[in-house]
Amino acid sequence: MKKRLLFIALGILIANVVFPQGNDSHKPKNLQVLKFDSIPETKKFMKQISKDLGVKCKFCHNLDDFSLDTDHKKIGRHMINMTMKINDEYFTWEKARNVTCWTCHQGQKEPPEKK
Amino acid sequence: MNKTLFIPLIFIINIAFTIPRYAVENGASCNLCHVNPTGGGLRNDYGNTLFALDELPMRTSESLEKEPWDGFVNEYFQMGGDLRVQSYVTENIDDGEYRFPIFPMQADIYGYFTPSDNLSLFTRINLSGTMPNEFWLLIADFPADGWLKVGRSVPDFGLKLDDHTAYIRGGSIRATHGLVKEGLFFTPDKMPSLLEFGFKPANGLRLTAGVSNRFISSGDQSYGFNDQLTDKTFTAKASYIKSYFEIVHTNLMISYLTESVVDAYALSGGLSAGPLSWTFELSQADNWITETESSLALYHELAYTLKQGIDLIGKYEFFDPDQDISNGSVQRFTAGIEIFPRYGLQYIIQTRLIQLENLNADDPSAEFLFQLHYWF
Repeated sequence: MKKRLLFIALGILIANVVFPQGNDSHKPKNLQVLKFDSIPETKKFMKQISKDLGVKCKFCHNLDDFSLDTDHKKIGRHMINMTMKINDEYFTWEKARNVTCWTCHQGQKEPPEKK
Repeated sequence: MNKTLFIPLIFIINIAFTIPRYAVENGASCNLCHVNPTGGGLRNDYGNTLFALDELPMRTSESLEKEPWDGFVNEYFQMGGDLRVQSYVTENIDDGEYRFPIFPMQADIYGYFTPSDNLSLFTRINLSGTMPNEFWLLIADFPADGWLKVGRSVPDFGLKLDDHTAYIRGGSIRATHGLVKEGLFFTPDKMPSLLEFGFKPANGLRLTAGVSNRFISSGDQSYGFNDQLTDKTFTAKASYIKSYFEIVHTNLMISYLTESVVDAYALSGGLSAGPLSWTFELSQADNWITETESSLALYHELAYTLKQGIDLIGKYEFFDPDQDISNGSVQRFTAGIEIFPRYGLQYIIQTRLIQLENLNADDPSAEFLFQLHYWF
């Protein structure tokens, strides 16, 4: 058993030495608006969206193939585009706070209506 | 209630675990959450850092900056592990006293090395050293999301449940109720060398096929040097996933296995709508116990998600080792709750009731089971 554990530890060490940095082959598919190069970056952004809307991944994604477009995903892409445009064109001064999904949605699928 | 036979419910085991109802609930296949394309064992990036972290437990991560370690040593190497400690209470037939063992059910660590998207090496090491380890190479650069897996693993057949005592898997290995068998042949000690491939010809449709060293008749871990082609085990499986109205998900699987004179068939799958899911399997094995007998195993599981992290579970199982003769069968009712309080932690609390048919024995009393499962 000690030999096995030693073998695993050695494998981890070699993996860290031989492959210390990213590889271009691990890239997200079908990104049309976002400019991320890596899956971890994309995943982090997506997780933030899911928290801001209070939804799970399957709300927008076909979990059998995440890269496929669905109706909600198309809407989401449109919304991300809108948010990016607002931030780029209107919130341009120094130390300006960015508009995010939370700004309107506040943890709900549909932005709450306030009168 | 009459005195029961003494039945060790679970043994120290080592097998690929998977929970098919999650695949059904999400309208996806098992490899949504597992690195193994046929499911079980180490969770993948989605299974570990999205589903297990944010969509499964009661307490989810509040900050993206303070998430627990996801097992990724770097982009190419992932570690993982499963620890299950189980206890149960059951009455001993010999002395009428209750037994209350506590034992490790699973203690595995995983390593998954992915130097590129299309080439991966997986290993699972059983820390108890009592069961065969699993290892395989996955080559996944074929058309239609095709993959080829070579190594030692469990052949793809039916639902690869996390409970090996289910009659559709290995059942009660010691068969202490008077039946010649109490479950099919997917016992935890069976881990044959195999070559398996799969692909996705259309959206939602998956096909897999494999050939392995025989494991039903031999049961050993030989390399099959003296085997002829007809001695090998062949498996084939087709699964189809379809979702309706975004909340109704269906999954239907047909499996076939043949080894020498043994033929086995399974129809399995599930249906999910909102918080409710039903998972099922109907398996038949011909010429397995003897060359004239046909065994039947049924599995039904109804799960209701009370709230995120709390699932109520009800199960019905049936096993008849020989359908042709009324020489006995067994059915089992299970009711329980599964709680996921936080990332990587699961409590399973169940009670099981076994009923015997056409056997000259009293029905056993109810069994109570508690399991703690930790994973990363």
